Amino acid sequence: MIWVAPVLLGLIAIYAGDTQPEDGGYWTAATAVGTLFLSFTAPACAACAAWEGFRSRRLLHAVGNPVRSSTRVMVGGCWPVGVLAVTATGLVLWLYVPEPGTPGGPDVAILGTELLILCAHIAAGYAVGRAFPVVIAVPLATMGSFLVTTAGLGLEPAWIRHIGATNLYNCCTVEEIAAPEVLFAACVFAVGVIVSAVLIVSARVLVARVAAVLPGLAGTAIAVWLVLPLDWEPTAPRDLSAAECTDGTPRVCTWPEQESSADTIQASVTDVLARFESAGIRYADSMDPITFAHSSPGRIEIVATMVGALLPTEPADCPLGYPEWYFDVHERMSSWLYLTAGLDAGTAEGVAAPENVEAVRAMRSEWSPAEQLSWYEAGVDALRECPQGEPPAALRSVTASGGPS
Amino acid sequence: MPLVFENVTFSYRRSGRLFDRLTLSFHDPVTVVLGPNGAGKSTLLGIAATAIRPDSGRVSLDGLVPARKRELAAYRRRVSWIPQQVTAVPGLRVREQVAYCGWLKGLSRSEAWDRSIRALERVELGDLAGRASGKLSGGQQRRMAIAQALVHEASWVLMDEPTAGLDPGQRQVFRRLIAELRETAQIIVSTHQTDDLDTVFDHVVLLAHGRVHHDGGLQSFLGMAPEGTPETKRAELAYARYVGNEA
Repeated sequence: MIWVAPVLLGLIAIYAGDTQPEDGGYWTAATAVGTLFLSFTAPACAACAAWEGFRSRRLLHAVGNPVRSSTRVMVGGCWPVGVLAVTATGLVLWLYVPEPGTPGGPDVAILGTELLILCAHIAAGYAVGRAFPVVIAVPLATMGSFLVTTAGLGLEPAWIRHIGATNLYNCCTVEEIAAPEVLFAACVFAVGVIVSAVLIVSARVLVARVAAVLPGLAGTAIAVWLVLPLDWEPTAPRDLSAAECTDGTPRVCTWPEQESSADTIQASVTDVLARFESAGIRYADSMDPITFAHSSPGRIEIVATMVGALLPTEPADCPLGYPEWYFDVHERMSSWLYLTAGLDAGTAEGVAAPENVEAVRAMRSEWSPAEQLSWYEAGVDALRECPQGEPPAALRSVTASGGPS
Repeated sequence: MPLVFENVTFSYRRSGRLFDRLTLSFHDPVTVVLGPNGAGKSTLLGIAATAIRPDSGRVSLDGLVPARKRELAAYRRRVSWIPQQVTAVPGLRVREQVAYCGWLKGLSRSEAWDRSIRALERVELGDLAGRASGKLSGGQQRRMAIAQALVHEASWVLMDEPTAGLDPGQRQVFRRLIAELRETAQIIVSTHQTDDLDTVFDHVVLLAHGRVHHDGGLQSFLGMAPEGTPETKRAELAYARYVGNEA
């Protein structure tokens, strides 16, 4: 194990340079990216634990009638591997630690889940080491652990990723947290594996060893049941009570991580609101508060977020689907709002299709402000419902067929 | 402080019943369990060590019956067992392995570490304490196994074929060790060799096919040799007589 530690820690240090968290200024994201390194840490720990399991078996054979219980011997053999797991996890966290002054601290729930998962790999590796000859046990534990932590990332359905928490690495923007169901499921799965491993190691007869697999299966079943309703994203919305919100319409909220950017955000928001107002565009009173996804949102993100809040979202349940022009209109309106909010055409083309930007740029130069506003309002009305058939007459001139007629 | 077997019955799944209501008491300082291969010597010591569970009957040590967890731990603290096969653990030095065994027998880590060197010195392996345990010769590994049994200073030491594979010099060390150890512990040694019988042991139990054929003092055992047998041959011929009868 002595030579495994520098190899593992070195690999982590090297690979960390190629991987960035979803948001380096958000502790939750900085903690969650560490789950990606389970692909290294878990197999290394499982292999070391298998080796320790093999050595424990020989020592128990040497003593013959030990006083210590099997569980105590297991803990005694595995604690150095546990130290390796904690060290590796700590190194990953240290490599991604946000800048000083970032509010909060490491996400304890994610960190705890990660360590519990590593404990499960260690316990399973140890049990394999106790059960099989070392030449089989170490490769088996390594490959098994690697497959569980890595292959899950490429497999469907989504619950395979969630129960091992292997999908957490790209969690989260500042307006998200790790989904509690995912963390809980991963913990239940890990505890099931640990209990099974302990029972297998303690069992004296074959029947008891076979029965010892049951807690692991039960843990897996419960974990799958917990995450089955989730889609691919292992995230949940963050509680808005953590944010600071302005009064008025729209309500704009900033998260604690955005405090250092608050002046920039406020200036951009005020500017965008003034431009929309001068174009006759108003936010609805009932609108949800506007929040920004990154700890230091740039001008484009602010504009895109505010544009996104203005446009109707797709009706959730259109029985006949959406006509093709629905999306054309949506994109044209987005492009028009980007330009209205003050983005230049070049910048807008970074977030919208260039042909859409070109079309609305022509419209803005050729149509009067009242005509543009009328077109925008007709579009909002059309997108709010489940439209069918041809587009409303007011929108036909700026659909996919080209620019304004 | 006797170690007592009461009505112990034990069967192997494949080869059938070995002990049938065996009752036996060990009370002398040094007892040898003699018998040919397959007699049940190792199983007897395994049951005495609680490493093997009998089908029925019980084993007790000075009235202590290892029926529950706490009693089992107390029993095992007082009984050391050196299995027949010696095991070197990869990656451990001799002292580390002996100390680890002490920890497995209930000592704290520091206590086991401190006592390990003393145990190694008793088997004259103190100068090899820092060597990898797998690098020891067969005889040295057997002495290391004895050190593992001594490290926690049990009151009973059960040795299964401890002199197998030892050269004459190492057997001399073993005899000295038994002589020293009998001052602090009671010892049961299983063997099928009669070489050192009259210089080491007080009591002889002769076992064949799971049955006790002799259970008594050394002199009564030696007395079974034919009259006129030279002193050096008495043990061998007494043993041959018993085994011959059984065959």
